[in-house]
Amino acid sequence: MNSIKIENIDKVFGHVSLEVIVDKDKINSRFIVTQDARLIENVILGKHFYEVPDIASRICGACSISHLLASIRAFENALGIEVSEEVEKLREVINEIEVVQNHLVHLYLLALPDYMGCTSINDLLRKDINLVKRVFKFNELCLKVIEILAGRIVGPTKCTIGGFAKEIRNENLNIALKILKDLEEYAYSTLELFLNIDLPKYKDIENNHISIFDTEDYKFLGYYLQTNEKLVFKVNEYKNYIREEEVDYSTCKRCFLKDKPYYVGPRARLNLNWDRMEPEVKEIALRVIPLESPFDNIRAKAIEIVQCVKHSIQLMEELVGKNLPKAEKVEKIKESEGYGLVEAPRGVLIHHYKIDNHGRVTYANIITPTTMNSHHIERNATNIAQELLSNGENLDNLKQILTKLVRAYDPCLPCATHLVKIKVRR
Amino acid sequence: MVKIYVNDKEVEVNKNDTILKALKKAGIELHTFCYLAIPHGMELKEYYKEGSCRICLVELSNGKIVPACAYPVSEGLRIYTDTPKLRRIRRTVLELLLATHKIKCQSCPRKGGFCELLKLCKEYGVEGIPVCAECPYYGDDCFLAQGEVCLGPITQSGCGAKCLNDGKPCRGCRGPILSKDVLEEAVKVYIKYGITFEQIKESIKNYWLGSKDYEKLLSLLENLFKKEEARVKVHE
Repeated sequence: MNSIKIENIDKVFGHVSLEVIVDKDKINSRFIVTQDARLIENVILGKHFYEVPDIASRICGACSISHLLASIRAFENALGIEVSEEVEKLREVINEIEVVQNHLVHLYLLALPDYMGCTSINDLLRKDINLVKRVFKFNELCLKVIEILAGRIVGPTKCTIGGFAKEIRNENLNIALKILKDLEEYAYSTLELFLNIDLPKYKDIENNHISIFDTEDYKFLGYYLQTNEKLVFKVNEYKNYIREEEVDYSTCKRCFLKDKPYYVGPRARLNLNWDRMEPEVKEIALRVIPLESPFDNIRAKAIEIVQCVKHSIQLMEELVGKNLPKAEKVEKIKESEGYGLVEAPRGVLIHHYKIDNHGRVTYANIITPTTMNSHHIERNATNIAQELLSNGENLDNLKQILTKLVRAYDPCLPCATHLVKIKVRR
Repeated sequence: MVKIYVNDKEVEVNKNDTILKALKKAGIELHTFCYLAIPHGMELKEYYKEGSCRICLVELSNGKIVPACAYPVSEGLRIYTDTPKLRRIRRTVLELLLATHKIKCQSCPRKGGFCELLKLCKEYGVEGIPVCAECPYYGDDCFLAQGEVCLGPITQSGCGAKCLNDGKPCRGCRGPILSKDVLEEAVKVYIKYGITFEQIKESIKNYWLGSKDYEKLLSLLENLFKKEEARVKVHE
């Protein structure tokens, strides 16, 4: 038995190792998350539901908005609260800008050094200082929009159950729209850069994809899920289709769609929803579709950045001129169950809660994109290793490609490890 | 040359010196914040005035408290540099100095590193200012008055009251204040608006459960709540 272990992969969010075990003809991969358990699901139990979104948003620093919105929407779903169209639109904008910001951090800071022959962004700085300056400017503008609309950059303060905790004024919307229009230029230059990058060519055998389903828009907040086999189901039924499984070697669970590993993320969104994109973006998307290799994630992200910026400008233009009122406090509390569904930057995010008559949480289940992808990464790592080993590729090259593979998925380990249960053995 | 007595110890000093200079020559350290009183961009010479920070206070034998940097020495003068009265006054002075200082410093992770002021604050147990100092609401707009549990009165300030500005009550991210006088005032406010110890305890649990000061804070708060409730009952 021979094992190839890549320990503590750098340039990903969190701590993770990848192990490929070669046993005679059989090859097995293990996606080993070594990040310590965060147990947010157990922290939430027994808390009043009003406090939960703020706690849930602390699962992850990078995609705190997605966790916050998913959790808010779950409780709104449970208590039957309907929010106005404007609130829904503004939430969509906030989430989309978060997606842009996350994508650009991954693309430029984590993925690009690999393809430019550098080791890190510091190396890149010596090569092309103007590019790095532009990246940081882009990032800064995105964060500014989030700060204006949502309050705080990490764990936004303004969003709450029923809408926004404070009145959102027209002036703020105007300022945000102005910044958003500046973002367009940056988005297009990103697209140009990343569409021309040479990515490793490899066909993904496990091509099960899941993403949000909406009949009209390329949406990030929704109620329905779809698979690539044209199966559409409501998020309430997720347990009938998605199965979670604990593994002994990692602190991260893995998920199956009818006993098959599946993929969620930008590539899945693009492959399934491309015809609902903005017309100009659709043209670009048509050139690259279908995205079949896991490495194509990088292209999908670049296209999504343009789509998100364009779509959010459109939404903001509809919103400008209105003042969004403060949310009212929820008075009717009943025993109920709620589901929140959001497309986080890295894929489908599901929050599921049950509350009792006093508004205390009695059950919490959070399925994050990285949990869903973990087994998909393992399967692809196995396939790539098999292909390369049979071609007689040397070990260093193999390791490099496997690292690139993990990085292309952009796993977010703090998200993935919150759901481990401690087993006490005496 | 004249003889003075510092903390009952005989010291010989120059005739025309101030107490501060004399003490420095005799090798006795007194904390001073002369530089703090100088606004940004001004030269030391043109602005410096004795007695502006009031941290170098000393006590004379007749009970008078004087700033050491502005008081001249005289034959047989008896001065004390560390008495309970002095400590109390220095504490108040520190709090006043902090009021014009950047509040952020108090909850800075580097607390007590290079900053003389923060070092002294730590020594004298001045624990910083609660979030209420930065909160924009007062009177009926206060979250406590609306019946919500807000940890503002017992939380370190420095965040600019971000959540409160955005319409959410304080959840205590920056950590607790442990000084007794701040907690006393906070408990008074809580009882005024009818918030019980159990409610506060539950709210504290969210973010402070793992903190090393958690147990200490909880017992302090419980005692204060009991005391204050008893006091209110007697009053009625």
